[in-house]
Amino acid sequence: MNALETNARLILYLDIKSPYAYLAKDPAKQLESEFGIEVEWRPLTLNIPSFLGSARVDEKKQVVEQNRTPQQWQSVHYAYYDVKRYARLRDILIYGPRKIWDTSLAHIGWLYAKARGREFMMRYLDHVYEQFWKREIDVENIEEIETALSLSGCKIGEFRDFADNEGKSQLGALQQDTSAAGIFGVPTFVIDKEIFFGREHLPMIRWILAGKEGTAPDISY
Amino acid sequence: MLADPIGIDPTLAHLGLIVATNHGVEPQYAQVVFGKFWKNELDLECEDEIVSVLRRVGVRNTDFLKEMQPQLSEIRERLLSQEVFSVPTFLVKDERFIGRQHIPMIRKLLEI
Repeated sequence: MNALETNARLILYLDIKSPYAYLAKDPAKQLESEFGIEVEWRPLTLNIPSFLGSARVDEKKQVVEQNRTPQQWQSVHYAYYDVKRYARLRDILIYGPRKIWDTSLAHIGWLYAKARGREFMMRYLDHVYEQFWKREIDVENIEEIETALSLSGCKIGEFRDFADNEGKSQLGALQQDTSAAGIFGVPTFVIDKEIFFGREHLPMIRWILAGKEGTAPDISY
Repeated sequence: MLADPIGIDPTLAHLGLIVATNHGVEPQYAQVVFGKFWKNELDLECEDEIVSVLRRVGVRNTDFLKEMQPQLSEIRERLLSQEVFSVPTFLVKDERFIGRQHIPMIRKLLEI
């Protein structure tokens, strides 16, 4: 699979553990209904420690382990301060995670739901995103992912085999393909093979979808 | 002369901005500096070129350029204490916004 190619009109790469990706989900859904297009939704599992270091906090928000530089802490604090003020505008709850989660299993669940149909996939994404950001799901626990799939309408009998084999393989291939294509973050939109990193490009994406009439808009949230 | 902008020291240009601000012509100065720099027409590390820009925007006395260094250092320390660590950063009503994508929200705040 080529990371920039699709039969759909637009590709969107998201990671469950990215709050910025969370805020891009519903506006991307709106594009589908507003423009009558299909968006192809693909997971991208970020390696956050590689650029923001890692840390774990306890229930009292005390840091119990960390390897971040002061600059990385600054960036992380700003990112959550910023994403929460926009989330509040849409009544979306975002609780800062207490550790860097491995979302690969959740993403395999995504691929499993996707193979069964768009409706299942969207219900799964809506459910897992909301639960994750309210700290109500352990995305590294296969039973909790199976519960999420089941609540989304998927039959889960084949999931464990999928997770160990085909799903793992598909996710690995996606990771390699996106990296090779220069896709490095989420949310990333790909339209007409052009890469847009960040939901601030939604005005431009709308302009493209609308036929590029008038002056191209600048970035904005 | 100018190729990759990474690694260029903008200190002289920033001292020039302080001088321009003191003369009330900082928008004009910034317009010229940005416009010329990003077309590879200005060496930010050349004092004569920065002085030339200042004169172009109406600043006659440019002798005090390097004397602005303590003021620049003080500004830098103050911004770091306010957790301003990237550009562009807008400071609006006790809120920080990094990036021009926030301009719609900034407009709303300014309307209140």
